Amino acid sequence: MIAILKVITPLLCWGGMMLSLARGIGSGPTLLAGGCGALFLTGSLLPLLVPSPLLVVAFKGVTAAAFAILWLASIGGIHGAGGEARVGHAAGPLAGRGGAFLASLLAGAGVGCILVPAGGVAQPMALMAAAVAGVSLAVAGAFAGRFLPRWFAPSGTGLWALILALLLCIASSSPRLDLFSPLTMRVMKFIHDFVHQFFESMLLPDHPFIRPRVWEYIGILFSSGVGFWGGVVLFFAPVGFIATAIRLTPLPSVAHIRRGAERRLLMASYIRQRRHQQAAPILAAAVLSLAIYQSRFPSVDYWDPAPVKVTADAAGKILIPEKGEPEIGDGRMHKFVYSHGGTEARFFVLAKEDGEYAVTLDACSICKPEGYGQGESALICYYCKTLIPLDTVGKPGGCNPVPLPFRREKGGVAIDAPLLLRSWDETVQATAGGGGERR
Amino acid sequence: MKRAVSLLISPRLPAAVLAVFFLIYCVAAFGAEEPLLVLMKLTRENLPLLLVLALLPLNAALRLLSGLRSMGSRLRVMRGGGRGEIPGGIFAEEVTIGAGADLGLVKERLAGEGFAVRGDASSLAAWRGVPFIPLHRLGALLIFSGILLSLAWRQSIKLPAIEGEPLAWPAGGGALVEKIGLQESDGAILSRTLAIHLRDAGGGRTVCGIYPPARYAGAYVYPRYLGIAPFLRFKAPGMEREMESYFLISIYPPGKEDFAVIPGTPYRIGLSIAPPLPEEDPFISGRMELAVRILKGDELLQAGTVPLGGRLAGKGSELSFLGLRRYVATDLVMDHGFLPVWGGVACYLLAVFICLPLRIFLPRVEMILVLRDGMTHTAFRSEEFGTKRGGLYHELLDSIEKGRSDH
Amino acid sequence: MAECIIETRGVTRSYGEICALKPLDLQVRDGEWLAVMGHSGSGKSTLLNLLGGLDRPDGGSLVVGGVDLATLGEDGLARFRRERVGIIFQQHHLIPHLSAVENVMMAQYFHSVPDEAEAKVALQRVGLGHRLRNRPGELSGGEQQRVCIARAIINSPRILLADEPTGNLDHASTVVVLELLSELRAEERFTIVMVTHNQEVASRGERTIFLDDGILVREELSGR
Ligand SMILES: Nc1ncnc2c1ncn2[C@@H]1O[C@H](COP(=O)(O)OP(=O)(O)OP(=O)(O)O)[C@@H](O)[C@H]1O
Ligand SMILES: [Mg+2]
Repeated sequence: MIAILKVITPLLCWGGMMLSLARGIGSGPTLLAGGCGALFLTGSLLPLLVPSPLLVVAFKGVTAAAFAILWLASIGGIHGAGGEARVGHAAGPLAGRGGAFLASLLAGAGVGCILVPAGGVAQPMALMAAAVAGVSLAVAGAFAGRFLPRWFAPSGTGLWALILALLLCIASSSPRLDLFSPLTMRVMKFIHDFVHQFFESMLLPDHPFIRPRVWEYIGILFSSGVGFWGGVVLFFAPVGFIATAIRLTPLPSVAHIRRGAERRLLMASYIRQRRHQQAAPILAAAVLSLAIYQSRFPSVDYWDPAPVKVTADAAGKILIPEKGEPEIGDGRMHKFVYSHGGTEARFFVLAKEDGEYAVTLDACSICKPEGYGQGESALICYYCKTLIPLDTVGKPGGCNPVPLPFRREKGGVAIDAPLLLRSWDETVQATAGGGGERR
Repeated sequence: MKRAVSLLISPRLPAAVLAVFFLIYCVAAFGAEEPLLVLMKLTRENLPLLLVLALLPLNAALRLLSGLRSMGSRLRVMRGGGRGEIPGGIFAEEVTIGAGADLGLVKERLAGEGFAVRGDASSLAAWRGVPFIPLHRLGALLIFSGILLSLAWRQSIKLPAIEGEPLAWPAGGGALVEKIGLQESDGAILSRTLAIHLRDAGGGRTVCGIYPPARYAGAYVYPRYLGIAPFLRFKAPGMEREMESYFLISIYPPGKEDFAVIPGTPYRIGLSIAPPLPEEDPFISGRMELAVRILKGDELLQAGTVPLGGRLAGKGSELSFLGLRRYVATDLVMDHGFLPVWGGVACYLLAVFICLPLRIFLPRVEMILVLRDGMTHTAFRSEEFGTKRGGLYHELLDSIEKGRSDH
Repeated sequence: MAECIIETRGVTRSYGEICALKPLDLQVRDGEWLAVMGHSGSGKSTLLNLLGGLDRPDGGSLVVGGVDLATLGEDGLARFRRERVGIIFQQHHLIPHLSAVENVMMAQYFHSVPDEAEAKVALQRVGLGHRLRNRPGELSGGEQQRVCIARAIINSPRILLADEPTGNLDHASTVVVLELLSELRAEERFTIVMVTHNQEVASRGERTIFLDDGILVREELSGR
């Protein structure tokens, strides 16, 4: 039953999608309710047939691709805006029932994925309940559309921006489906590479010649705040483009009318219609804000034990016993802290499914060392919200926690204290300042 | 043919082209560690992709041309006072009114509104403001051509410029690096200035600085980092002859240790600039002491500091620090895209700081009235932004229709 | 008889005890110039307000310009006022800190979108082409009333309602305003309903009706 609580926001988003589709697509409510409802049902029951990791990848891939297409369409719209005069958009190349049905399938699959516990099996009862709720919402939305104000008639790219925003909002209700956090990582990487390439291509001088102050400013480009804000810009840009394109669309000529008042009335009606077109992008922007909020502050509770203080023996060996308090073999992450000479090095031990241990710093080599929490089948980096699948913990790279060399000894795990301190110092030094190194 | 041109000139083409590259980047971002490099390499090595990229400058050029052409024909029509054939599509609104206008009065009225007016008894052209010059299209053309040229034909080789050595360009020749000068400076961006003095065989001299990059033998000289090469004499047991050479090692800036490896022997010499560091940058002053560790395999034979001109001896090995040479790790880069890209950036800046304000504050408005067969043919175009919607034009048409231009 | 642009049937309006308009039947032809006379408090302004959609009747039917005002909601009534009627009052109700042309543009703005060129022409038509930038305080009473006329006709209303437009003007200005109105009416062919106390002003109209205590007591055709 608790599971159902997780899908309340997604189901509300689904209802919103149906309302928008009901207003935006010319099809009758029966066809819309039937088609979309059936596809939502199919989508939400997919976890019974398809393994959930695969479904998650497919959901994210298709949603991301759709978002990319929206991006391009919105740029095309801006380019075309200077062109022919029109009021109200004809259904663009993207419009039509196909899009509506695909969106319904995706929404269903998203809700289904959220209900499947990570690494666990789908519970048919929960899925059925969600499917029934979704179908009822589809019917209700399709028929309730007519009660919305007449001027709310999203069309063309505006409609699809709204639908996609709602879909992204469904996705961000679960860290596993979320697209915003991965986007911020990719943005960081791109900006980093791009600046590097720009220096290289334009033969710009490097560290040895540039003032440290200037270099600090350039360093801002490499901080993770840039990833977040870059992600925000990428998320909102299509909506902004669409709104701009609507605003820039020239109004049809009224020069053929020879009475001033009549001419002005027609002009005013064109302007009003154009203003109403903005409703969809504005709503989409609001929904996207919600999606980003959900992504930044996930409602999931993470297992995050307080670090246990440990000490080293004379040879500099830290021994963590296997049996005792805490019991490190229980498959959960256990954090420890070792203090020496003013440095407090945090690390954790995690027993993986195959019985192997992973011993890593509670920090990665990219982000500020805010540490990790353990979710259902993944750790989450509190700083950049990236999910680290449990089976990759202990491997280096990206936002994975930095692995530590360790030995399994009689009844415990042994770590070299000086090595731990050095590794912590190096990692924290590289990341705490925010600005990364360029090379 | 017509269709092909209209496709190439379409404002949607750039979006489509960028889409292609964006999608490739996205795919690369899933698979590869360095998606941007993958994208560049793919583009460089695939002619079809290069051709797709070439659509960008082509599109910009065509749009620039067509914009200039219609601007040109409008200017001609305006200058001719509206006489002669008016090519289609160069004005935004065209209205024909079934009544003749009193052009004299219209002329008076428009002149009163700040229009320049030209024409005769049967035609009239009026204009106001400065035509918008599409400099941003030129900018796009230059930037995209620059990227294309750079991507397709950039060549670069790493070549250190060492004081007293020729800068050995593989194509032959090679000027002598006479001197490398470094100075602290407090520029807005640069904290140092660099001067690599080159003299070629004919006696011609070139000085290469940091930015803008100097040209040498058709390539840009791109200084990347600085180094100090100590000139050492070394002798140790088991060596047939003593060894005397420069070592291009990385010990500068101070604090780094690097090894000079004596080829064919088990000896390695660990070198670094010895603390305490001199007040002045050793690269600038040429004064420094070396901290030396002489190793045979992993065994430490000797350690100590050696001043310039000094000697460190013991256990049969002997090391003299005879001198030093400055060097600059440089890339020689042949890149025809460098200038176009900067030119394009300059065009965009001009467009933003000159063309845009002109369009906002002195927008071009153009109007044509032609009397023919008792009717008035009119055409209108405005580059105004925002809320002014050709009210004057509409009003003029009203008054012509009502034959009330005498008001 | 040409079609009716105004047709009232049993229209009443009372203010508490006072019955300002007893059941009234009135028909006005399209393009007619109707004058309304009657002593003070006889319900002339009340009638005009009802015709202009500024007020709602207590009973009876009221069809103006083919629209049954009783069926209109608040939005519809506002739209009717914006698009169908132009109104001129004795007190000019111009906005004091806006210039003449801006006052006219205000009316355009509430109607649709402002258009300065058109507003200027409208002021030129009422003979104020040289006073475009003056504020109402800088204009004479007659000039102010002419600005009001420009403002009332700018949106091409089918009906012009005027409540003692010349009440505050001397003879010369009155003549100018009346001349102007008849000139504009000849061009635009709108209907005029004008309340007045002045017999001479009323005689400009084609027909005069007399109200007494909210009752139509008499009507006469002028000039024939
Ligand atoms: N808002 C109101 N509240 C109460 N009574 C009102 C209101 N408006 C008008 N009346 C009353 O209704 C009656 C008719 O008023 P109305 O203004 O129509 O007269 P009028 O013929 O225009 O007079 P005048 O020539 O003096 O302008 C008057 O007795 C007046 O007192
Ligand atoms: Mg009154």
